[in-house]
Amino acid sequence: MGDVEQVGDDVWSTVSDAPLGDLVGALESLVDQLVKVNSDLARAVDTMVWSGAAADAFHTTADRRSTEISGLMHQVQHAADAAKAASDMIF
Amino acid sequence: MTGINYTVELGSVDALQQQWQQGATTVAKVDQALAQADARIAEVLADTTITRPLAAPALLAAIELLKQAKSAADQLAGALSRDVAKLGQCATNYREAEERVAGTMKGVAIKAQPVNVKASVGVSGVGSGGSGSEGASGGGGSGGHLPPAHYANQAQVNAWINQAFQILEANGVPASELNAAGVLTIIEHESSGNPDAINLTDSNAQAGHPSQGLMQTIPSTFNEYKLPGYNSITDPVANIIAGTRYALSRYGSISNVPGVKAVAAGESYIGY
Repeated sequence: MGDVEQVGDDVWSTVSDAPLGDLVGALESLVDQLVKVNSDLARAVDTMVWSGAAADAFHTTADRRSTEISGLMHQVQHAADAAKAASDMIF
Repeated sequence: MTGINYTVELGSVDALQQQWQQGATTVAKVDQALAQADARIAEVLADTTITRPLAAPALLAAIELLKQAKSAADQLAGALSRDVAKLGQCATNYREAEERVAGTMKGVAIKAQPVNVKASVGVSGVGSGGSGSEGASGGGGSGGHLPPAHYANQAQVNAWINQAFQILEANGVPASELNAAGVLTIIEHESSGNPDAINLTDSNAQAGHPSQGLMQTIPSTFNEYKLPGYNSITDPVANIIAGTRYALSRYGSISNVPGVKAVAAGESYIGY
């Protein structure tokens, strides 16, 4: 996750004043961050030594979060695609 | 007490909580970045509306998609943060149980043979040694490293629920009002399946009447809703009986308990 935050910090700092073309790249970087978050969380769940009623409930929650993160990834990608389409019309 | 074949390593829950916290932080940053991107495209839209009017619909579409993504990121970051809090509460519950066992085990010589944990040390679902899946082997009571804690598994909790529901039916509660899945949801979130769970930190504890048992009833509520012959708040069946009667009395149905409704709607559990 350290790498994620390092790369992510670069993304956060460039989004606010980026030209539209760079903004598309920044949004695609956000998608990459979310991919890694999803992967890291899934790995953490796979390696946990915890079972029982509470663990069963948490597994259900983790599955839901994975689906939600995937959904967010697609939403950000769609936004990046739309921004790229707009950028192509401007430049 | 049987069925103590589920385990937890506290370090594993801690690691999970830490990873989840990092995920929540990253998603929160994504949320912020999306807001900035939204604002940036709005600026571009303002600049190009006159010079590049044909691009305006595409920019507006991008802005709308960013707003939707930001809303999703905002909700996700909040959900992950709530997960972190819940994981922390689970870890705290487990640690408190381990500490109680450690205190109870002092001076208790446990032979190297399978033991019924509750009968031996008075704490249900907490192993006293070994790693077997059925009960646990004694570790000699040397006061050394405690083994992973064992909690009642879902099958055991369901058995307790069924037993309690049979008693409730025999005492006039219509079967149609007895929602086993709902009660299981409450138990999972309130005590993690630990009949000896006790909350020593919340407002009830500060007021001198800590929530206890599978459904985390406070003593006065337990005493008001218990049935004759089921008088121990840490007895799993007695606790379910009292907790279920309380829930039906206060909320009309188990499915109407706020936490059960929230989980059914895909949201985080709410205490009752």
